[in-house]
Amino acid sequence: MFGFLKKKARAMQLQKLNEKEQNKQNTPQKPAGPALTPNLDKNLTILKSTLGNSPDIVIRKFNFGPRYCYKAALFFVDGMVDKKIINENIIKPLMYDMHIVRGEQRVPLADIGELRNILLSVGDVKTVTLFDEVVTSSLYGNSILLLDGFSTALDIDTKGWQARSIQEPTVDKVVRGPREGFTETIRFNTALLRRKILNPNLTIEQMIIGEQTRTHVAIAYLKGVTSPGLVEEVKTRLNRIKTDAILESGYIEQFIEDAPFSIFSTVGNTEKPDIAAARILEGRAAILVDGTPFVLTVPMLFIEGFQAAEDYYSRPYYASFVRLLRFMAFFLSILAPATYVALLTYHQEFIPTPLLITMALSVQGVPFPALVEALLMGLMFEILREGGIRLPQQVGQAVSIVGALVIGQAAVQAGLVDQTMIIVIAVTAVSSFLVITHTDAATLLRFILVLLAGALGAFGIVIGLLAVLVHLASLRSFGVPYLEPAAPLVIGDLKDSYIRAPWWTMLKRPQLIGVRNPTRQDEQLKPAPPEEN
Amino acid sequence: MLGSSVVLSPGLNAGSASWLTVVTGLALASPLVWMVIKLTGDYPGKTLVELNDVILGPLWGKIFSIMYLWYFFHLGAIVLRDFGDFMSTIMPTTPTSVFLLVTTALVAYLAKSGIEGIVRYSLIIVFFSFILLGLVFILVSNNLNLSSLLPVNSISAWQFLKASYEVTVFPFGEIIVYAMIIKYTNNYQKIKRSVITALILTCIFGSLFNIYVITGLGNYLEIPTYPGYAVIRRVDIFGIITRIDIGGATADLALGVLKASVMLYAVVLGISQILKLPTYTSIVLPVGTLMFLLSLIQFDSSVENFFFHETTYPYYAAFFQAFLPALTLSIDGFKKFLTRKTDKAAA
Amino acid sequence: MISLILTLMISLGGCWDRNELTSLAITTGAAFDKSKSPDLIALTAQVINLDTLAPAAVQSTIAAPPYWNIKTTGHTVFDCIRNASQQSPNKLYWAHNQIIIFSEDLAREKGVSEYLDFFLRDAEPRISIWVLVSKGKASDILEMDSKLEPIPSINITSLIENRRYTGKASAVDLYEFSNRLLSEATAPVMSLIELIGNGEERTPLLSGTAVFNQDSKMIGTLGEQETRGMLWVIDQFESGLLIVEAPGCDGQLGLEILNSSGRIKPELANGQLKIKVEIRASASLGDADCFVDILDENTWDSINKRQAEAIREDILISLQQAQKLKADIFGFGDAVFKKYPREWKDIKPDWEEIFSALEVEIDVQTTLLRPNMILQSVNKRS
Repeated sequence: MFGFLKKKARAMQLQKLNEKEQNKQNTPQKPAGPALTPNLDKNLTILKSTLGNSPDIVIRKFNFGPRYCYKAALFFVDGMVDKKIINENIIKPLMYDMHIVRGEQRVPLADIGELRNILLSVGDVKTVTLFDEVVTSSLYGNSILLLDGFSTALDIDTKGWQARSIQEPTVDKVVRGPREGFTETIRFNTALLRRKILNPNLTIEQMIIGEQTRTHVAIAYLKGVTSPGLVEEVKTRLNRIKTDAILESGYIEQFIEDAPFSIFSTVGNTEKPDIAAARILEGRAAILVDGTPFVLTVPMLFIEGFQAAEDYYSRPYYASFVRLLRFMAFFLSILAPATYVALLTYHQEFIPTPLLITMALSVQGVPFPALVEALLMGLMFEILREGGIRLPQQVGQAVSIVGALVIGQAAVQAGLVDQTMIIVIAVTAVSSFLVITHTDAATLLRFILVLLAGALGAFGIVIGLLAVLVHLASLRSFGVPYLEPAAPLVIGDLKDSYIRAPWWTMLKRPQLIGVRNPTRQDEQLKPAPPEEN
Repeated sequence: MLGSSVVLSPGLNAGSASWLTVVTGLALASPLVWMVIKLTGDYPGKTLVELNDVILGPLWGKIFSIMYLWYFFHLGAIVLRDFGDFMSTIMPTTPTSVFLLVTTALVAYLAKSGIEGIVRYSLIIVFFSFILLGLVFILVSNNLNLSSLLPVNSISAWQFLKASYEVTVFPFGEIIVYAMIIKYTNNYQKIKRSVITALILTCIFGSLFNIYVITGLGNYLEIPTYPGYAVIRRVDIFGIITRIDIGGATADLALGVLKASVMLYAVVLGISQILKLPTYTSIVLPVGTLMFLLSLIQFDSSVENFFFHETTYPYYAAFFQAFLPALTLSIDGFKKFLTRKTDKAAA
Repeated sequence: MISLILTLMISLGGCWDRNELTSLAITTGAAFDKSKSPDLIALTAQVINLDTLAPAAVQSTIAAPPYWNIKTTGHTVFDCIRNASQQSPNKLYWAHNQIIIFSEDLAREKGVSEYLDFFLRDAEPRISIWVLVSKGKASDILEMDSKLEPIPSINITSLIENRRYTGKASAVDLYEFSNRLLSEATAPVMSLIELIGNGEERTPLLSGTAVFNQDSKMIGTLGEQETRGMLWVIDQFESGLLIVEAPGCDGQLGLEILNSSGRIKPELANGQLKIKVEIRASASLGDADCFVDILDENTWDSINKRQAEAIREDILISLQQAQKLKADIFGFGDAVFKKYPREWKDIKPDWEEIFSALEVEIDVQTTLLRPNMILQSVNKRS
């Protein structure tokens, strides 16, 4: 009932918003902001007042040309620019190039664009006329060349800040496969993608999100494979975002995901260009965000958590085995403590008699009920884990030693915890790392299931699992059912789900994602030895 | 449909011939199935409630619809109660209401996720249940004694028919609920195919299940409350794999939740169509609560439930499964006949 | 969120069926004896005493038995079990019960069905537990000092599983006993156990079969050979040794049965009922007392013939005893019912009489598979 009322209210709100939006669209485009004036000093005063007196803002005034007749200023942000380019390719040619120093007949300079055409040896030079543009691009590492007497300026690409070089990412490590990972610089990242897919159809569209941070965000997709509907949807969702800051792609994820109340993530992310490229090739769209190596990919399926890049690089048999192993580990990681609690407190009949005696011996004298024990140990493990991640490496090791000693040995010897519980928690801990994508969901589920098992035994666990299943079945990610290809059943896509079929059998792209152009490869690619004569 | 048939194993009164009753039960059910297909096929894209309005006019249509909805509602409550009783037998000191409450919450959640969610859920659940039951089957196969299937004609034809009829109304006749949700499959041929496949699958599964119970229990079949469960209770492999009851109960629960949520979904959809509500999701919770309450208060004990299944239900269900659709269909036919006649007269 | 709150509510509100493992007394065996008062039931329940199994206790030299036998009385079995909690700090937990033993006098006088109801009705016990009859007091069996396996009831379970090496004792679980009891004709049976030796050195011996009538009262026993005959017919002979006279020398041969099957085929002709029993068995030569010349073709054949003869004799003896007891231990009646359900209605009322005079044709076909590792005996001179 309350839900109903709430929905009503929300619907009304949305309607209002829509009307507002429409009104906004009816009004003409907002004015483009003040334009540059021909007066250099005035321009510089305005810029200074806009950007304040920050020490990193550099205005280099200089004169050049025949008899130093041109008054110019170069405007850039220190630290964001490559000084070498500025010195060698901008200031030096302007001040020393014989062409302009000597060429008296060329006076006066008709158009500032001429400088670009004849003097500046820099790759990317644009003309700008608005203050806003000047500010925006100078803050992103460009240098602005202002010339007295002209109301246009040159926007010269001098980006060159200190960036982390391309390194091997810390998650998704591979034994076989490319080791490069995305970095914090969006340009590098798009380049990495381009290097994987040389097809000109790889389209990258860029936008700026975040009122304060003005973060560059790019959508990458493969024209002709990705469905235009998906791209449109992604763009609409991105355009909706009106927020202060985008510091990491996680911000975006939370603004565009389908099920904000779900503990499962419906937006995928990766740190590796090869994975991103593979997903784009299957018809997904990637969202690159400046300032983070984590690239989002949509739509995301549940099954993606169980797919690793290496599955596709190694031969199918072992890869399939590992897939099944990951499924097992996933279930183990959410079920093991709950099952143990249920067995110990409700279903002792299920345990073979000799094992029961062993277990009874191990819990003898333990003061806590199994439920409390499982919760305590589970929490303890999570604390240790969190501590291990955040602490510097050397201290982290100390933490894990203390944890192993305190929990593993001392607790058992003191008779506070039973040994089997330790084993169960340890197994859980290890197996929860096999499916990194769903680790956080699994952790939460684990605790919920332990509680349910403590309350209702196996019935509780089953109810919990079914509820999760119902939840998963109702999820969609950008229009694609989350549980595809299991439900809805897409037989063809099962080749890349619980198992990984050989490449030459995977003729089609995933059906619900790569709808536009389903064919991935030719048939009859199955390799065979040459026929003997 | 599979769900409660697994727990209650309909038609097992027929002794060693029980597995045959499933087949004859399906045969008896074929007119009912035909009616469902005919009704939905003649008015494609309309649910039972909508087509009642069209055929019987707004007043009688509503009355008929409400009767159907009551039946679905009651059926859902019965399914819930069956599971509640079953669970209470395994876990005696936990109140049945707890099981009912938790299960109903899940059922309501599933119904709320709509027909898509239900279908996706069912795909996975049916798959896993089959695997689970297959595993159980392998484990009990040691204990199966095929000669228990003999003699085929141990009971009189009348008893046999009676047992078959029980199977007809439960579970086959419940296909009528399809008429409520079927509009979401858009193709008439597809409807026909899906309904018939569902029935045949249920039939095969039902007979296999009965065979497995008969051969697994022999004479012992006479006494257990839940025969299917008793078969599993016998499993003892080297003293290591014993009492795998939980596995069977899990499959039951998952399938039962599916059935109950289909019923609940049909009810809330029907109500929202009658009351012209914009969406059905808002009434899932209240109706679910009512279903929970009905399931809680309808029987005092599981024995009462058992008697209800044995004596009252076959006639009760026949009213909704056979009588109402037959009436609707004949009125429809009559009306069509009349219009044709007037057309002819006009011509 | 709602579900989370619900969960917390439930888990805090109380957990009804919850049994912490530490609060359970794992029961592994039950024995029923005649009680002094005819209205009461005397139950001895064997629970595992975990303290003596703990590593610390094992190292110390205190030799307490690892089990504890709780003796209670009550009006029904359930009553007995609940009364046990007046003595035991932990609740008796029956899911791991392995055996139920009845004393012979109890089984003969009162019948056993009233004792079995609880074990079938309650959700806790398994129905695959073994049922036995003891000569003498049943509770004594649970008190013997067993050697390799410290807990007597588990020890007996192993003995029952060992029957497959001899085929001299039947093994009947609760389900099978009930199944036979529910049949219209088949007589229920149980394994028979007794204590041999005396004083501290008493050990259990599992041999033979106790035969019951349809009122679940014990009416007689089958010896080792008779038991074996029954096992042949009901196709439960797993393995065992057949001792036959050696051909061509003075001594005996042990044949190890490797495979066997038994089928019952009733035939009704001219109102005359005849049962045909078909036994198929194969064996290997297990040992030989004297020198058997296997390389002689006739010897091998005649050993095989003697094998068949020995099997037939087992069955005949068994049949005689069964007919004497008027107990259809073989399930002939069920076989008739399955083949001739109409005629069975007429036969049923007089089945006991018909059975005791039934003509049974025994068809045994055997194979002798191999002489194992040696072809000739070492004692060549004899």
